[in-house]
Amino acid sequence: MDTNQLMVLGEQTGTYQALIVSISNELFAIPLSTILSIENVAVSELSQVDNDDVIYLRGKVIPLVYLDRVFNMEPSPKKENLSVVVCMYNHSYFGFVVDSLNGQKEIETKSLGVLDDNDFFTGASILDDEVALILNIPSFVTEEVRNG
Amino acid sequence: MAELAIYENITENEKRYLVFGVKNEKFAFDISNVNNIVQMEKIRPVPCAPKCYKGVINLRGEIIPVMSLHTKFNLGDDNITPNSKIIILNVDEDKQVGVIVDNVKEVLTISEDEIEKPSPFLKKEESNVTGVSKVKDSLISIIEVNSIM
Repeated sequence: MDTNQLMVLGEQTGTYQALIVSISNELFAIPLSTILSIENVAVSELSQVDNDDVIYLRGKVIPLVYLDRVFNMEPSPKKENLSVVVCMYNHSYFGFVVDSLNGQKEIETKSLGVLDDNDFFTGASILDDEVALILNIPSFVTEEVRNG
Repeated sequence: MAELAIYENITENEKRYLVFGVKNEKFAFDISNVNNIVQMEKIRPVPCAPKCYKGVINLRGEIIPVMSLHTKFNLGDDNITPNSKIIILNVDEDKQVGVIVDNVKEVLTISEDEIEKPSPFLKKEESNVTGVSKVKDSLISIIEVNSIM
């Protein structure tokens, strides 16, 4: 894997590319610089390590993060195939399970004001009429993220 | 929404207050803290935020956190009607926070003598009410904006 990626910690200034995803009917933005790949995985292909769902990808074991559970949102509809956005931070790999991929956009981080001390989000982005929350990728590594 | 015209204070110890309703009670903010009043609109939930914050709204390109006073004051769930409004308050010099209210009533001029401290017997441990005023046969609880943030 080519590691010539600029890893920007915390808030990014100016505009940057992000992948827009939908989970439980809410939009989230994932900075493109943190994304390794997007995989389509059959549920039957999942393995478990320590009761957590994982996938094997190019020799690596990648734990899955179900944001609808982490954020106590409406559970996503069960499907046979999962869309997984594989991210990396500081040599840690994990995959976000998303309901749908809504394309790539150039976005700007807008502060959440008094809510900007939230560990999981670096801010928000306004897309057409909807608000997408921008995931703070490092927070999913430093915290013990347990599903369910 | 009618423009809120800010005039000079008539006398030194009088202030203008925006009076609004939350679950059959009347409350008021010092109008100098009020930036704007907008219609109720779709709120984008923010996970892992303090419970009283329902999320954020997009107000003409600005992201503004919105708080539920029903939740903040432990009055049960919000009851959103066509009269519900979001009062946008100025906090912390440069930030804004919206609060959901059941209705916005009027702007009243209240002088300091008309405001009483809340009775120590009725005061709960963490009361946000800094004063109570009796105007036109109803009680209005005055909320200091910074105390609810």
